Amino acid sequence: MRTKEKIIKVPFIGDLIYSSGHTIVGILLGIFTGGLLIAISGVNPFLAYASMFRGAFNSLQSFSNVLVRSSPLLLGGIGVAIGIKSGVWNTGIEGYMYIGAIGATIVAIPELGLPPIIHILLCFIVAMLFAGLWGAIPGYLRAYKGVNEVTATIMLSYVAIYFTNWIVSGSPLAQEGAYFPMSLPFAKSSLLSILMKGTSLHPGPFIGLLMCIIFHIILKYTPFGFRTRMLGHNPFAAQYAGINSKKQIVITMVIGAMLGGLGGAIEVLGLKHRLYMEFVTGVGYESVAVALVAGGEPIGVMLSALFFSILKVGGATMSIETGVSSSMASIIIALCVLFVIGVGVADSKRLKKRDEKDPGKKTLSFKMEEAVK
Amino acid sequence: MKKIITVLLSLAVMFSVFAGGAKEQVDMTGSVAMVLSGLKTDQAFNQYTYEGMLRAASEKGIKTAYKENVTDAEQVEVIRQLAQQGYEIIIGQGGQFGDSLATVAKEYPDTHFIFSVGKDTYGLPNMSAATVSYSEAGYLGGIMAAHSTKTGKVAMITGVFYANQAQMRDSFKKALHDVNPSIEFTAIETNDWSDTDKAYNATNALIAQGYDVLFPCLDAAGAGVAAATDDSKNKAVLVGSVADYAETYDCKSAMGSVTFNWEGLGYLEATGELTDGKSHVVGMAGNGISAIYNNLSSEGVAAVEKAKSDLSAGKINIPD
Repeated sequence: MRTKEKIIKVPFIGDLIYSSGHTIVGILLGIFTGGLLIAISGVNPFLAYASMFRGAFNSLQSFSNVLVRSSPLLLGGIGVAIGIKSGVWNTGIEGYMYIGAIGATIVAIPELGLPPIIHILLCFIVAMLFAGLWGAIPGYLRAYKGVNEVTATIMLSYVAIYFTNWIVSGSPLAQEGAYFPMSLPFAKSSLLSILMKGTSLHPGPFIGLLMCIIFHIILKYTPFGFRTRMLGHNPFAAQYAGINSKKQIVITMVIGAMLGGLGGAIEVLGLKHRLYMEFVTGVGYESVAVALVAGGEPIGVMLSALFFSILKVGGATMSIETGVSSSMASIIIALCVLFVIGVGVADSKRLKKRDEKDPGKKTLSFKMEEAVK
Repeated sequence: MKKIITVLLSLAVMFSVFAGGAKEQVDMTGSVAMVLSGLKTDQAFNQYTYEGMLRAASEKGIKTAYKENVTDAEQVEVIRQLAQQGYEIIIGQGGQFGDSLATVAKEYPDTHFIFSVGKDTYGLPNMSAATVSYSEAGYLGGIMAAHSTKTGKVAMITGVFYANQAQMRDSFKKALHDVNPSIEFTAIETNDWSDTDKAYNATNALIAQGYDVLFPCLDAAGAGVAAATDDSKNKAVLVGSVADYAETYDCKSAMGSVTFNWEGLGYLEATGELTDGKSHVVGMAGNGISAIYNNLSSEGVAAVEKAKSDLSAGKINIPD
């Protein structure tokens, strides 16, 4: 039951908002502020948002676009979320996607004479293996050498991006005489099937959703999940309880990398059927935002990835129909993330202040924090 | 709580009114949509081809639409969306759009698709290709460079060697060789079309190695090459391509430029003149490229003019 204590005071909005709904409040504020920016740019924000809504939900085809766009965000988001749960920032999803896609490309180009399902699975396995090995580097550096994982993963992402550029322009896998750097086309048996005619809907988004559910169960109900969560909540206590925190950090980073690699492989096998230069521009970094908005919860990743995809797909329609800048959808996403974080920070400060003023109510805020965890 | 529900319901009603009100019957005859890989304000081919479409729209009164900054992952989705909306001509502006245009072209046989800055029509009757002649531009630039070098070392700088840039490099090299076979030539990639810092540093490195003529084929990053040659204290000069470097980047060391008429290409594409399912290369004859002279010697100008007439007469063999 919601109580008066769960309400936060926001200037001009007052007592309307419940503190347990940081995410919803943050998103609404982001959309509202985005509306103001749209209005400043000279477009009616209601018309713009209506067009965005149509772009995402006008037909089954439009919604299939939302699902397709959510595929790398789901897998990338869950990869980051696992890291958050164990207390590490696995921000290298962009790089894992590129490395995974390279792995998939190597086995997707040749005609191996395999049945499609086996060929596709082989592509997935090689992609995850490549990305997992790549992720082990920052994992090892973080766990055993104390190197900041954010720096290591971001730097390695650049290496992965430039390595991909070479693969598609100067390696034996590159398509000669192309008008844009790209690999040779993939063998037919390696391509993901289209689930709905006249769309690009492939099984990727459903694999992503399934992974979210699987990792929700793993984190909640298995010893591995317990160790991961314990390490994230209190690394000292975890170590004291006998958990090999270094090994756990490496494992969670490798798992995150494998999921990112799988996301990259699905993109190339499902959409363009070749490896292209810059085929996932910024999607890996958006995955970090997806995981942040989801509060590091796998089920939350499902919702936030879909929300981001709605904004991206609807944003394209909004841009075409109303002339709003194409970057507006990205601005709205950024605003939502900032407000979600901001509201969370403001609320925890409010609770802290209240606890200091009135220690008698501390139990309630403690319970709420526990519930959030 | 009641107040919140009332506010939300009011917003929902307003929202649905606007959503419904936006639907109206529009004449789509001759309508054109353009998808751009960059911004429509990039002062490069995205902007100029877009402006060409706008000129066609104002002259012919046709409906237009565009989507800028289209990423690889959203190409098919955006192109399909435009086809669904009934645009009769859809132009993909950039070499990266070929596969995506072909995918949607197969689904919408009654819509015309133009693969711009490419030459592949994918064997589809409703897909055409159009580009300016990179070969002719490279050859004319090579003649200018050969008549500008003192050290006998000439360098080309580009973002990435796509098929067009590779063709430009080859004809540029051929022109250098035709004028003076002993000229040393190198070609480098910066891996970025817009990063001026990278271009500036790459140019400085080349100048330090004794290259005294720089031939950039870049978008906004061209400003970096212009700045580096101007800062080199007469150690190097520049022969521009794509844009008029003296005018666009106020480059004092520009000997001349071979400009691309992107605006004209965008105009041609949008008017529907290129929707015949064929590949079109717009060169000097079609006003696709032009030679601009700044500090080039009179001997150099005469050589370029001769090369122009020889190219038109088919006396010079370069692939197009």
